[in-house]
Amino acid sequence: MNLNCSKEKILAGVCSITLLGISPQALAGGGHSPLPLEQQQATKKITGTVSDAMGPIIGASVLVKGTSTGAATDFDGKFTLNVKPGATLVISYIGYVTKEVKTDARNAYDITLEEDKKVLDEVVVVGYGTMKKSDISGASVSLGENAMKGSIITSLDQSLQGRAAGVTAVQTSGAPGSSSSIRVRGTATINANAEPLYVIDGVIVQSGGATAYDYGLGDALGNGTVSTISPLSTIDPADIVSMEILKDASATAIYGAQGANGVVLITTKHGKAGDAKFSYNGMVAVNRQTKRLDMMNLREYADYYNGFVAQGEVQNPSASMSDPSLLGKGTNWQDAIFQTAIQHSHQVNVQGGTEKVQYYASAGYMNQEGTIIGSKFDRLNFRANLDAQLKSWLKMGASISYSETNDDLKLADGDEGLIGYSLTTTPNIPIYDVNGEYTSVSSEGSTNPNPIAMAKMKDILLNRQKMNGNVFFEVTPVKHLVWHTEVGFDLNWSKGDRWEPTVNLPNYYVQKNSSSLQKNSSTFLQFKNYLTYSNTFAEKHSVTAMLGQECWESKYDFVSSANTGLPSNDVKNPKLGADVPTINAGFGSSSMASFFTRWTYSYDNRYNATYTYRYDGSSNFGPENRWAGFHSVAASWRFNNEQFFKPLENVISNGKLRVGWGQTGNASIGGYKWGVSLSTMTSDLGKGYRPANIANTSVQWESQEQWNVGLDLGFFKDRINLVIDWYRKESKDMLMELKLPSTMGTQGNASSKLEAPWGNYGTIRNTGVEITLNTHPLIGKFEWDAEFQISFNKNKLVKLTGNSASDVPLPGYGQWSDLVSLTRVGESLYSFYGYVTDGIYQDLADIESSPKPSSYSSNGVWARNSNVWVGDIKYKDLNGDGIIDENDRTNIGSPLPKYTFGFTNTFRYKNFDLSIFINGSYGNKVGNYTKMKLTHMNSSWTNQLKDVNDRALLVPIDANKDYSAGVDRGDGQLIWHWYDDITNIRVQNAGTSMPRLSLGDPNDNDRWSDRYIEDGSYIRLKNISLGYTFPKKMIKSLGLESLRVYTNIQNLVTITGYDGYDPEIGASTQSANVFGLDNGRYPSPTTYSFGLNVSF
Amino acid sequence: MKLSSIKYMAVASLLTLGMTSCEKYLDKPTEDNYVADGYYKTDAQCLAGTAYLYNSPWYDFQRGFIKVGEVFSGNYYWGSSPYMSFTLNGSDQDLINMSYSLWAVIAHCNTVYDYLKASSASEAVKNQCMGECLTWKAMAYFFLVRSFGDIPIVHNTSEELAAGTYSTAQKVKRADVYEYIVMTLEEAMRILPKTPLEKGRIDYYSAEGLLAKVYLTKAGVTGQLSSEDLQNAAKYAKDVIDNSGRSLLPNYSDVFRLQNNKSEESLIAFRWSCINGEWTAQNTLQSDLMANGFDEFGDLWGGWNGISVDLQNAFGVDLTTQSPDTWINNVDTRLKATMMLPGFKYEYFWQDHDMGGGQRGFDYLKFIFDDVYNPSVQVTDGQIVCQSATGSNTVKHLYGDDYDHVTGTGHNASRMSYSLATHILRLSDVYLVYAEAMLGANRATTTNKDALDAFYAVRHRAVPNYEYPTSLSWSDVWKERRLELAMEGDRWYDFVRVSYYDPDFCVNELMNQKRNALWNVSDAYRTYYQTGAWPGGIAYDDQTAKPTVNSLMKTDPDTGKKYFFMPFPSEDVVFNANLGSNVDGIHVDVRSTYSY
Repeated sequence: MNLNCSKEKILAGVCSITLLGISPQALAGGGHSPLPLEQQQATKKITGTVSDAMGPIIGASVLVKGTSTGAATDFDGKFTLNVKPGATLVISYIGYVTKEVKTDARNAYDITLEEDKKVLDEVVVVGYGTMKKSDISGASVSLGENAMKGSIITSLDQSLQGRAAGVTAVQTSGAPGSSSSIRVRGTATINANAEPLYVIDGVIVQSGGATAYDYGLGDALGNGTVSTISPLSTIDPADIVSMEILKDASATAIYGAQGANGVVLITTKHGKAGDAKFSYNGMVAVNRQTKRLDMMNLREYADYYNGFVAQGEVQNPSASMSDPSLLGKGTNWQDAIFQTAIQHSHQVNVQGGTEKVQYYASAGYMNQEGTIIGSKFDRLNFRANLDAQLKSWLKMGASISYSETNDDLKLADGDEGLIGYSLTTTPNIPIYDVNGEYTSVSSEGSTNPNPIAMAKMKDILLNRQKMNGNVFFEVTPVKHLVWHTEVGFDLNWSKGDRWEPTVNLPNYYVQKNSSSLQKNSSTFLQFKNYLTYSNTFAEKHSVTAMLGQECWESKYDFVSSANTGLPSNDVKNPKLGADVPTINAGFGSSSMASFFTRWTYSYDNRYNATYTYRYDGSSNFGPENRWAGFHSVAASWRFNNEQFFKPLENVISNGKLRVGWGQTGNASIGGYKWGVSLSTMTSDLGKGYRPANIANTSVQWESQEQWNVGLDLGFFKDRINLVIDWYRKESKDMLMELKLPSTMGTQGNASSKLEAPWGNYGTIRNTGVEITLNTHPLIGKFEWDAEFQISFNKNKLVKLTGNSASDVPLPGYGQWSDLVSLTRVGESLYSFYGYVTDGIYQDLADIESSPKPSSYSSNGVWARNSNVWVGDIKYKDLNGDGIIDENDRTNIGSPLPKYTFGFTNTFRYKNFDLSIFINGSYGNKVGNYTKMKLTHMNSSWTNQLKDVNDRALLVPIDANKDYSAGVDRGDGQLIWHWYDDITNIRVQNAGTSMPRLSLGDPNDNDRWSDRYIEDGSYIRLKNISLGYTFPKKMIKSLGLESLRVYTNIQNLVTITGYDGYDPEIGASTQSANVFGLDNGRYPSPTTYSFGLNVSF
Repeated sequence: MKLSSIKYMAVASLLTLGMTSCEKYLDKPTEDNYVADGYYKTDAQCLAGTAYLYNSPWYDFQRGFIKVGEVFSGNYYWGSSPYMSFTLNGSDQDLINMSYSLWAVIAHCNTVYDYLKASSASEAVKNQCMGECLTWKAMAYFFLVRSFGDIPIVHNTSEELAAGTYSTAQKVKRADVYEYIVMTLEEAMRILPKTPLEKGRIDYYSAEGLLAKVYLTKAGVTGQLSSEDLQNAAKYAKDVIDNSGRSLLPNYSDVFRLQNNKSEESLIAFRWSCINGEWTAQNTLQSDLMANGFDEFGDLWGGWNGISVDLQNAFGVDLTTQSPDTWINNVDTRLKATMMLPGFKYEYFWQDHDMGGGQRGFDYLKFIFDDVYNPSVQVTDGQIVCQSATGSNTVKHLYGDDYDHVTGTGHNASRMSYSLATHILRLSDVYLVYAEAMLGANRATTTNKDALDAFYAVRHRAVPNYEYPTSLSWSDVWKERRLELAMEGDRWYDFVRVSYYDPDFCVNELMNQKRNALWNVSDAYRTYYQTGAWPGGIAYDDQTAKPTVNSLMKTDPDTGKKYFFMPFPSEDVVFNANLGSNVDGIHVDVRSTYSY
């Protein structure tokens, strides 16, 4: 083969990808084709054994350097080769440091390989390249394979919890495969996407949509801007070898406009030279909900119901409940809605290759039931990664992965969620009737459908397919210079299916079923080129310069169709519907073009400096604001390499001081906010078009500046490692929707209001400290590793612009338009906002001498159902004007933690390993919205928490007062009972803080107040796992190379003062700008699992 | 590697870098929809650009429309709703949605009005469409001022946004808001055509009829009825009656049928459509007002509520003392068209159902008790019961089942989505406005023929044996308005406008209403259904204490008189402290401050 010719061809091919049309001849360099030398010389036979500390290694690759001659070790770790004298053997095996052995006179060699613990520590992935860890001046954190191995995760983002300092991960839901809210160094933006950028092998991960609306499931999962659907659940965590979380701006600035929320670089597994090595990883788990809320049983509920009758709130007593002592416990709807759920997963992979070509291929399957009946998740995935050294100067890599996931979703939270229904449905209703059919009972003021029937009959299905990958070439035209050219892609298809069957139940009676189907597809194509020059001059000056370009375009489209009146419930296809189908379709695209450069300089392993610059253009902005540039600089000093530090060498093995500053941006607000788009709206006058929003032509980049100061210290040969980082990041020109009073017409239903303009309105500052302490207290036979990390973050809304009043805050709503939180200038984000309680009104005199609520009688006439009453909650008059009104609300607690921490201990003794992972959060408040509904006592047909037994009990002051002839209440109207006579009522249990029961609730006792704010701090035994690795001798006879079994318990114990199911709440799936509000969140289960890793 | 190679490599890289610097690559306006730039140019575009003002922005107002208009006023029973017991506070969901909706209408009208102003469409179409914007805006303000009292004026949304004054905007006194509504309607009438460019659209007389009603309401805002305002009300109403060419439909119940969505009696209406399934385009009132089983979609939860005992009594129906013959033979045809009672059958609902005797239609009693006719009957403690606590459900705002919907409109209904128009201003309302205005500021009984004619036209259509009256008193009109417009979202506003000058009358009437439920309804109905004989035994719940309305009255700082108001949504005070419940409006000379 003519080498010159092939070089031309290949290069021409590469160039044609880049559409350069460059002349191939120009690149034709000189060169000679050497004859294979080994054929010309005499050889001798040698044998050897390859082993590690635990015994022989099967399948290690033994190559004669510079030739294609080689062998693989057998079951005993032995090999035989013919080599010429003086040849060098290259022995390699996955996970081990490759060793070279020069042959000599001996004929037999005993070769011991060392486990390659340092590979990942030494070189870390940074954006558009890799760097030696010791050279990095920015703040980033690595999560290796082992960290992920410890826990049972279905979605990658779940593994970030408590594992990396500076990263707060809160699971949005306990549903299988559900998403987490990940915040790198606090929340830095409002409304514009605050999740970090995920990059898999250089390709930006496309989510395919954040909410159920995006998938055509409408409001089936709530109305929030986040949902439980995780974009990352399509990726098999078992394929991941490491994750790098870039935290400070000097690290993220290379991602410029997309880096403001931090960047998570994900590296998948790649093959290593050697004989094919097969592995199987399998796991079976059982998930359970261990906690139940303390709801009233039937007997208690009957008592409670009779309380309404006794106070005249309900006029007719219920025959079946008049004598509670005759009743049993009734239906426990909580037990009915939760199930013990089985989960299992399997992954097989094979990897290996030659010195020049390596491969990794895997297939995985996972199936997980949710702990709410009917919820399910499964995933099937394949991956193939290939690396090839085509020529000494040309390297190629390709990876492709495909996955398909199926979600069987359920609406857990919100007013119409299964959790809420299972709590509020009364215990006097059975699940099934005598015929085994679902019951469904409605009563005045309560139309709860049977939650079990609802969970089992309605379908909310989501099928997703994702294919992503890349192909790259690395050309080294001259020494020290590498040209990397790469095409990446991420293709997504999804099918959202909603099905509501005909239901023939009393009160839940649907004669027309309905079926809707939406198919989405999206294409993301990314093309990038970068040149990297690295060289070391005069042995001390090490320089790397990188210059590059990237552009991507993302296109999406969808079509949906829906119909009603299908003849049967058997086949769910809108086509079968008898009525006129509705169709919908849409498409759009966005794009970005970027140029970037990075310069690093390192002097004598002591002084390092990095400068990066990125210039980005985004289609999300108008022509005049499209482009922006982002700079960063960072420097570090490895002071332990200084001469004067030599004496301390034995104590301090590593010491590095890092200082960095940089800018990043954020553009994720969706397209065309700089103009007004029209949406269709049909009225009886025909098809119409409505302006959807108010434009802001000057909307532009959100920019962020961040300072970082860090200190890395290693003591006693790195037995103790300490990393401390302090940062301050400030997001300016924060992208958000302008907050306007409703008088501007910008509130209400999304398709009826006028969306407020998007613009650059705010500044947020996050300041924090992260500490990671990594120690190896015991080494040797009994090993103990302990890692503790803790993150403190302070978050403050510095200012808001765009308003004439400078302190117009950002609201957060509970269900619909119920204001629960407020972000105000000078305070941290998302603070709960409401009234402060001040006890219970004891009698009329107490009401009259207290500040006046809005239902206070203005003419001295009092009615139980119209006016504030004895037994109602007294609220504090915070502004001191004598009136209780909306001006008396205040900040009643922050949902953001003061710090979060994680503590991992790993013990190894002989073949056993034990890992205990504890994580926690301190200082965050939870808004118990569920409790509001479970203690409101304003409906006799809603079950409540047992807490309501402590409600204010009203009794007559004078039990003998005669009402038989009616008593004038003051306006000529007669009253007939003591409980309507406010002058004759007092509270019996004076100390209670729970109000009276009242159907009308005129005093609005369930208004949002500190009654519902609870301490959400918790400490959780997140994970405990015990593994056993079989000795090689034992499994050799089975033909296995390694075998590990383990058992794992997740979420075993949570210590918290919180009353609800689970203090880990996260962002609301019901509305934006709400955090830590428990509106029936799907609780995270306790998981018991057993797993097996085997390779052969 | 030769030097030339490096050179070429560098060139190659530069070319690559340059390739993406193309601005065109980054130009991505909305691709699958029109954008406002370049729209509103042709006649067709302008007409399509105002069609949605008739439905979508009003969507969130529907529930408040019933709860305020009918529950507050004692026409409709709604369980433990705060609108029953006058305990409304500023965080009430329906109140907030209603307010959101009304302000959204104003923002949309202002925005589209600005687009139209710059349009190159024909003058006729521009006038039609701009007139629609102004009339709807006036309508929204009319609801707002009557509901909340003092409110801010947003004359031009984009200017206010640009100026940034929205977070300090002051409330304006009611009287000035009324003047602003008058001014807006005058401009609408100046440009609107006498006959609409398309059937169902607002025309000159729609705006004029509304103006008449605005004057009648405004007349009392100073605490005394103003003769001048009443004369204006009469003048404009008379013009509509005499010159609009519109007349009342002969049959009262026809007004509320799907087929007559755009009848000439309907001056202004919400023109809902469920054709394309866009959310907020559709009517959803049946879901709130009727019992499960009435349509196929499982979207009904309003059966427990119903027409109040007080409204039944106003029609002369008394379930506690009468037997079915009495109400079945009630002379007022509006009774059956307003409320369902045992014995009432409706040929226009359930046209695909056999109600017995080979007749198709809807039989209320059969619906409650026949589990074959209606498999979704309510079973409580093993017995089929009537859901409605007052033994009666509404008829207005119902379309029937899907078959009725297809029959009436040609297309299917779906879950919480139907195309029945909601009439906001009907011609008969204008007749009664005229009659009332003609009574003058002292509300004296009149024998004026025009006033009697107007009143007679309305009542005689409903009560065929009603004879021409010899005189007309204020209380005749007051009662007639309730019967004619029952369940049409209007009654509370009658109370509001009268409270301006005679609050004691209003409080007294509200305090003496029968707002509670009835007892033993199910037993009586069941026996009647099973035996055909009426057993009696229904009793009014006189044990539940009467509510008080005192926390929903506010003192006008100028007149010292108390009037009805609703708290402004308390959410808004965080954006604009001047919207707080403790802040009163300021005086604005609207004619000199604003102009069209």
